[in-house]
Amino acid sequence: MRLVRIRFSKTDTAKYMSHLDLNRLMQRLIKKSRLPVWYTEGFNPHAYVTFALPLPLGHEGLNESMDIRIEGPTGNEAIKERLTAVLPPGLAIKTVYDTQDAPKTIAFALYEINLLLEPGQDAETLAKEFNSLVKNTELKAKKMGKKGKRKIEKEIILNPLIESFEAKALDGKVQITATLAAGSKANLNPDLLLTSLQEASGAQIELAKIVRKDILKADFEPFE
Amino acid sequence: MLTKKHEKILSRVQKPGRYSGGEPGSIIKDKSKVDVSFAFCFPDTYEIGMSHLGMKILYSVLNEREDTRCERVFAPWTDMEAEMRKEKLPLYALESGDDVKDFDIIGFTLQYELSYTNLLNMLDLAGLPIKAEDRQGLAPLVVAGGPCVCNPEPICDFVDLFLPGEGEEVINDLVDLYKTHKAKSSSKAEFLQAAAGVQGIYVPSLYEVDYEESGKIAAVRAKSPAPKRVEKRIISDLDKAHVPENFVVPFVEAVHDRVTVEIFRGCIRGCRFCQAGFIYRPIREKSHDVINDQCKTLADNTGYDEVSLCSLSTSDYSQIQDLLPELLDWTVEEKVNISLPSLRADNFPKQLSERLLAVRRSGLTFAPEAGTQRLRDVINKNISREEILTAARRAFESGWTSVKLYFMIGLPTETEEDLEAIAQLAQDVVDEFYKNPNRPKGRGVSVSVSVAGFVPKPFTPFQWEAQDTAESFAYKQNFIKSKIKTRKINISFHNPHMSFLEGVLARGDRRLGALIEHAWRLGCRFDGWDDQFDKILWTQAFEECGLEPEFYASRLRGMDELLPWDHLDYGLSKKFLIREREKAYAAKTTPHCRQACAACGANAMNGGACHAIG
Ligand code: SF4
Repeated sequence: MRLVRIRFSKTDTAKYMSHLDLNRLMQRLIKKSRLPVWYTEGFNPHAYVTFALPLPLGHEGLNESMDIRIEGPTGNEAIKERLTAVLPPGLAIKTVYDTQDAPKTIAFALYEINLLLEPGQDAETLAKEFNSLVKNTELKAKKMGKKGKRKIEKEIILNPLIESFEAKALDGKVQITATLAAGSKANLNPDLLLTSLQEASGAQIELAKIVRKDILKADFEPFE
Repeated sequence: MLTKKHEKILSRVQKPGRYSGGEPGSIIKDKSKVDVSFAFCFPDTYEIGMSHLGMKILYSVLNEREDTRCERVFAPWTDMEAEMRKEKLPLYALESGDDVKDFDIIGFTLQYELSYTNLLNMLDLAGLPIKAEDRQGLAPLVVAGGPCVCNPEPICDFVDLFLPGEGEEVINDLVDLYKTHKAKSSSKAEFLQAAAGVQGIYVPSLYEVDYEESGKIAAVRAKSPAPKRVEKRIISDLDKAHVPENFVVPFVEAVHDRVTVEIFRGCIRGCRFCQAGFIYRPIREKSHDVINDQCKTLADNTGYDEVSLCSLSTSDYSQIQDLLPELLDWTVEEKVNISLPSLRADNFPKQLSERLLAVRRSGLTFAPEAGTQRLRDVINKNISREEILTAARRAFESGWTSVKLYFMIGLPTETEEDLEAIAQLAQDVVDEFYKNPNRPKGRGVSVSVSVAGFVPKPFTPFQWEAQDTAESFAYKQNFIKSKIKTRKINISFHNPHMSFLEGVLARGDRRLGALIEHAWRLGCRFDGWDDQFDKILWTQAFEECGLEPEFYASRLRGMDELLPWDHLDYGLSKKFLIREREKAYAAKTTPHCRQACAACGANAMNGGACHAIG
């Protein structure tokens, strides 16, 4: 049995799948592909599939990572071909290789965010304001957390979770390139950052297109 | 297909995957290469519509045709509707994103009466006039099928033609005819006249209804060339009926998210309250090897890990002994589960049920429907207390700890004793659990009891009955509740006002069109959803339209009264229905079709003989 890593993109209509939806769909697509994957034991056996870093609903991902276990001699090229044959539009296999880094080495993710603004908003001004907010102001956000068994709302400070951030105006839009904490230890969902920036600046955003371009390790090298 | 406007709206609604399209199995065709476009509309949520087998079949039938593209449309949930109206985004179809109003044919399937306002709302969201008479061109033609079409009178104002009966064949006839007339640039009137000549097509605008002063129907007059009575269509050989080779596999989890294959159509039982048991007659079975092949193909092509065999009263399938081993042959190996809904515990072979359970544990449910044997005889529900208790005991012995029981209140001849017996039967099931010496230690039993209000339906022996009022339902609910003495029984009730409205719409006539329109204008949507149903708005609609709901629901009709659906022919003789009603009042049961033919008349629809009987 071989642990195989599959890197894929999730864009276009596929971005409207939640992480759970994607998980369920992958089970079905793998079954349909008839790849010799390893099934969990027990009452309701299912294909072993794990994702390195869940992608929130509505976000696009260009280099997402999913592991499966293959039994028998099927090679990586064949896996790529057979999965590609069953994927719906918006999901595409990029590479298939024998696993390297453990998912717990993930520390950051690289994002490109394009903000379409409501009429009357100036991209240039907003981009500057966002840059200055990230640098000079304590950005706060409310997040649901747990205290024992109870759910409570807690306030978190975002700046330490932002490794790099640059906003600029581009064709009337604001384009943000950012490296944000990601993974099991610390994680910043870009939606949360946008809400906080929006509140602090009063910006009126018509549509935020969030793309996770890659997943990185603590040394900023790509997760492999 | 996603424009900036779509993306903007989808970023603001719950479960955007309902509205995005792009699911595996969806069929996207080159628009320039087809002659007819068909928007298949399901007037409820995506999750419910995507569970519906009929829609999958017709989607496939239509897309098999090279000259046609069929696309899916579901009712947008209220949040989506609000965004669409705000952003002026008209209703679109999921495959191409094209506006529904630009399709040639817009087809609805009507599964329950409480989805009628959604039909109006979807037409309106598409940007179309809701009334048929205000849509003057041939396109878009609005058609509707499904079980509710056995009495489509309340929605005649909005729909150009109905397809009573089974859709797989008549839909092709409809598209063929439409294509010819589109090529000839016929007017809508010309097309409808021609359509009225096809068996299984009902064009309501070609019928005139006169009313007596009392409000009853005096006469229904067919305008030439429409037939006096419209006969429903059926598929004579189920083995040859079209079954898709692939399903659209949804992103958002559907209510029934699995392979579903129909094993027979119709029902041998003849439960007198059950409309499906009558309107889908005569019984026709599919051969076991055909079913097995269809299950295998669909499991292969979809990747689903569950196959569900579907029909009314599934375990009446006469070839189950051949089918299950065939299925188990490959499903165990391929880790596919089999599920059998509507299982009758009384006649299921023990050895098979054990093999099945090894594959799948689905919930254990019984539908005694009535509390006493007497009332079960009245409704011809052929299951005894002993059978239920024996099945429950067997289930408990093999480790189950929960059971669901379904009942109805408001059935004809019902007394307090019958209601009390509901609580008693639930208690007996609880007691059965504690009689088992090997019951799992430290675990209690849970018996869920679901109680619905009886709704008399057209084409059943109870089509003439007076329905309980909402107040009477509520009183009976409280009465049953007061008789339950243990927390081990969880009882739940249907909303009595919803059952009442369903009763009004089910047996309504054409005058209810104004009511449905008014209720929709007041804001009624998703009336089948407990959290959306608005009793106050419906009451207001009745008052403002000057209509009395009691006339439709609470009135005992005379056997000789002309009923709004009498000009539709579902193959059932009225004499048979009257006979069944008389037997009901005498608490006499009717043997099922395999024991003796009750001469319902439906055999004539299929060349005289009933299939898979005897
Ligand atoms: S004709 Fe006889 S056997 Fe056939 S469905 Fe009717 S009652 Fe049953």
